[in-house]
Amino acid sequence: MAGTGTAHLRDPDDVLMRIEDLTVEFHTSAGIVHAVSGISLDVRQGETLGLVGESGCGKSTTGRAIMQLPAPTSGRVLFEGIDLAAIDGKHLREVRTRLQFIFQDPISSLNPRRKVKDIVAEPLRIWKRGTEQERQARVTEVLDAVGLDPAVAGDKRPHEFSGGQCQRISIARSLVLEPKLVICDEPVSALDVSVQAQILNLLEDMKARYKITLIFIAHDLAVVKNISDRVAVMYLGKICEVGSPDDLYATPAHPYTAALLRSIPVPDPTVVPSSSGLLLGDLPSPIDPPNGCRFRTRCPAAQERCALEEPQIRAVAEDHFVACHFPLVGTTAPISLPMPAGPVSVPTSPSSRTVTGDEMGEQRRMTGDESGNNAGSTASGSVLLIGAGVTAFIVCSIVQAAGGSSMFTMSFESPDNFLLELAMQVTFWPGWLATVGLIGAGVLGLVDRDS
Amino acid sequence: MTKPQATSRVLTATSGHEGPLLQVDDFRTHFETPTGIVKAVDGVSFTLKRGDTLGIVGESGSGKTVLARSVMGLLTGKNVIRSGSARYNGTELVGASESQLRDLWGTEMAMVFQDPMTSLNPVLKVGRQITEGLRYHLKLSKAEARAQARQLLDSVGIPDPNRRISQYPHELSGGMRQRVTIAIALACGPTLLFADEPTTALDVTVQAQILDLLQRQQIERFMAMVLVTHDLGVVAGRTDHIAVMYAGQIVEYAPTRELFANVLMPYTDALLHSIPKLSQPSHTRLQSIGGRPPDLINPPSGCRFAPRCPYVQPKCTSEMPPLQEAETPGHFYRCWFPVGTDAGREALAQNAALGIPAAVSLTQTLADKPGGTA
Repeated sequence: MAGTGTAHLRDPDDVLMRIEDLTVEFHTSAGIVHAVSGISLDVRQGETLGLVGESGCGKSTTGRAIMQLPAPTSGRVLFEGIDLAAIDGKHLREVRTRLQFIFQDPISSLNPRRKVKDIVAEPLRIWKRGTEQERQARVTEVLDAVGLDPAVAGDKRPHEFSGGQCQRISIARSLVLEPKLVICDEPVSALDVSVQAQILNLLEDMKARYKITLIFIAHDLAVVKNISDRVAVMYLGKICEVGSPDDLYATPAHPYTAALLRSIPVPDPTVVPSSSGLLLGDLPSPIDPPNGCRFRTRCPAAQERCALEEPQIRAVAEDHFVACHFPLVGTTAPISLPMPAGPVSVPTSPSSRTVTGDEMGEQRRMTGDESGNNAGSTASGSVLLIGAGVTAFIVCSIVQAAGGSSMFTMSFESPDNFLLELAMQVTFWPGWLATVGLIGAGVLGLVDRDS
Repeated sequence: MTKPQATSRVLTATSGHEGPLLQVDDFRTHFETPTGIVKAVDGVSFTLKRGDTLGIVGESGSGKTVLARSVMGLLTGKNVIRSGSARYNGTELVGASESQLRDLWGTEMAMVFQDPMTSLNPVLKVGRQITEGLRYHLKLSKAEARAQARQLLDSVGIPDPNRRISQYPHELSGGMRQRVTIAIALACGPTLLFADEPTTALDVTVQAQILDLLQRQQIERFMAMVLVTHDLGVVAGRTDHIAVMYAGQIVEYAPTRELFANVLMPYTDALLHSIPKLSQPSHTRLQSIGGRPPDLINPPSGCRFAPRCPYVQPKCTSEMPPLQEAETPGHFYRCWFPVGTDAGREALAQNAALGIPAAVSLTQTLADKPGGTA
């Protein structure tokens, strides 16, 4: 599942936002956490992109990296054609007015000491939009749109509201500046099912009313299916599968998507939960993710190829893309790396990871002609070093001879010329050392190449 | 049949000849608070046979967790008022002393809590936490307890138990920690297991593993299990009976298949409609439940769901409906105008004609999808 590649991206002129090869890494005392590793995504104007996956798959990190909270380690985030990772803070603040965020926990994301109308009006005040009356009118309109009575709710503080109502306030705050794109990070997972339905319906209404584009991040596949126009399934910092929700859920192409769908409990007692086809074990550590396909350690269909070669995203049907060598829909991926001749044990356990890593390294060494190029450059470097050493020897000898001494004996019968004496002092030991060092390095380089 | 007695028929309906393992009758748990008495559990009755699973479903604040904890006697605060009766194998739990309860905890009844991070002691190794009960209740020696703990870890599907037994909880993943709490709960061989939202803190793939494990252990050990959850999907495939709770009361109680096939209580119906389902196409409009659960200090005098109910009639706000048995034996509900009956259809049509938004949208949903849930 570890898929990189851009086959699923659409025409750059046709999309509102495009992420290219986004990578986010966190440096911790335990090592580098590879939270998001080279993913590419895009969203069209007016579309809802659902990002779904288990906790730790990097879906929230992706959402935050789009906002540059914090900025990604590498990769580009193009919003309306501007690379957000490349612009300065002032410019970024301005862009963020069109790019809003709704957080998971509605209660902790609102300031408990402020009144609702001030919370919602703050973005307008910061950006000095309109007069005070116009701002109030706008706040009233937005509160009304999210289903709160502005006259009653405006003067209350967040603790007087339930979780669902607080989420409505968050939505109102994010809409008040008329954003183009709203990123919702698990907006309903802290809510009860009955309230969850209200908020999902509200988001659909707001999308229609304010013509916004949504990126909807959630772990609940059914919720994501309900709201999305396009779904991307993530696993351990990589994209597994991208497609329209109806296709992707009806005919999942990636073994991970299929396993996820099977593990969802269905509210229907006639469906007997079966333990076959369920994933075993836990998510591997993002500090040391499996090589090749990152899902292979838990994949029921994993083969040796999955450890050797990372699958690239490719189309298996119209608008249905998957990063898997052996997808459940469509054909096996064409081989891009030569396979080892002998039989190799199927690397499905972490213990076999090192073995397969070595094998992969060997593949690279044997196949690349770059190794020859490297040797060539080493040889010419050695010749240059020897040349430099010889030059240093000649220069030193001339200076010393002029001062009446030789390379190997220092004469302190002072010459009349002060500058000449200084040159002798400077060149005696360093000159000798440089000569030996340079020639030695050059010879060693040549010997190394020959062997 | 007079209404108040109706609840006791739940007992007779489900208790087999061998007698129920757990018999809860008109059980109440109230909390004294500065603003008034919170009636968190208000008159709940049910029975549970050995080997059976009861699912308790409800939204947050419906009293499902309080019910489970308070039946076990885990709520010991001075402001807790328990009344009614909860009998375990004939032993009355309400009013039992703490030492009496301590003899039951672990050996007879045990609980798996929701959050495996906070329910394990972070400064004690896993082995010590499992052996604690074994040493106290079963008087095993240190070595015997440790061997037993290893076996338990193995049986709950923890690979390499010899290594895990001397690790701390933070060294395990969420799913593993929940396996450890299950091992602790099962250590002394209880016959009644309460699982309070055991998978809510876990990912779906791990949730499926844990639910499988609980089910397997329950069958192997012939335990009774009370599975408390907010997720109707979790209880649908894994329980024998379901009790739906709302505002401290059981509003519907039925065998699992019967409940899903023939919903009578408008609240259960609304709950089922509000869940996004994988079988629905994308962008299906969800039927949400307007409003919010009632204040449990001053609950509505009539039906507690009346303020949010699309079927509501004047009678609902004045008289509390009893938990009465439907035509299908063993199916109990608390409603004057049940879903799928003539009275219910009439009430809904009347409300839709009056333009009550909840009724109008529900009517539309039913019209779009003939057959609906009924």
